[in-house]
Amino acid sequence: MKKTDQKCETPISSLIDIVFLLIMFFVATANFDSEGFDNNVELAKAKNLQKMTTKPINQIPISVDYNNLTKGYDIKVGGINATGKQVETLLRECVKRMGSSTEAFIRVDKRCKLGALEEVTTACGAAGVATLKISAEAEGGK
Amino acid sequence: MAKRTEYTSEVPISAMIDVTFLLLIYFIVMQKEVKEESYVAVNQPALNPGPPPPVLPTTCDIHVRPDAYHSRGQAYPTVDGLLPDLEHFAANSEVDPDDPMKRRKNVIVNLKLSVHATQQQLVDLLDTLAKYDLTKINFFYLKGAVDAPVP
Repeated sequence: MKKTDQKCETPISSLIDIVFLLIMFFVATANFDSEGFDNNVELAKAKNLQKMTTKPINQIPISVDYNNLTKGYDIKVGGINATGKQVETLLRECVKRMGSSTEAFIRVDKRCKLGALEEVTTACGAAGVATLKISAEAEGGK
Repeated sequence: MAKRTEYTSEVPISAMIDVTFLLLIYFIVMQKEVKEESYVAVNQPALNPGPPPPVLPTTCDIHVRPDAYHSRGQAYPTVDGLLPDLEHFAANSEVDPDDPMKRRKNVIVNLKLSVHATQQQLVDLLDTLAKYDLTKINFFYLKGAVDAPVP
């Protein structure tokens, strides 16, 4: 009996299409640490606070991340790590660049002690930041 | 005439598929939930405050300490204990119609914060104050001997 020469192939062309679509979706929706907003900060939840709709242009994000290894927290001003006097220096530079109506958007991890907030707000006061906003994770509500 | 040889040409896609799958796995693993944020604006004590307002505001002092919230000589382990006081303050003032944030007229909340209290305690209190539109808030920090427990 003559043996039939049959080729057996898995149809992968449609699979590749789907995989590429998935990659495009994940690239488009990837949540990088944009504009200095540190996504590792675990914010406390609040129901009744004003929701942040748009990110104003004259805003400096200051993230305070919990760290139980060093002094208890790490400060990032606009995505740049800063300690002690550097926080004030960076804020002064931001105020010089953005103008007198500069706002500080302070994002403190819920596990941090208020000593961290005190350090940031004191530096903001010394650097001449006009408005301070304390951030929380929005949970329904207003 | 010579016999024509049959060639089949194929694009080598196996390596590309490997890389594509690696990319896909990377993006799936790195995907994070986008969380909406909210905020409250606060004031710091000014070095050179201006003249006092014509009508002196009512002030409400709340101490935030690691163990409890303190108001009018009473200690409350949770913010719920402050609700009667806050209701009282809210009942005695109107919402300012000219204020874009609809805050209460002539009621200022002074928060005296212990540096040993946590951010969670502060946000819980700010959230409760926002519930009663008491969002004219001043921050003060307690340090050293002042930060000792309230007797």
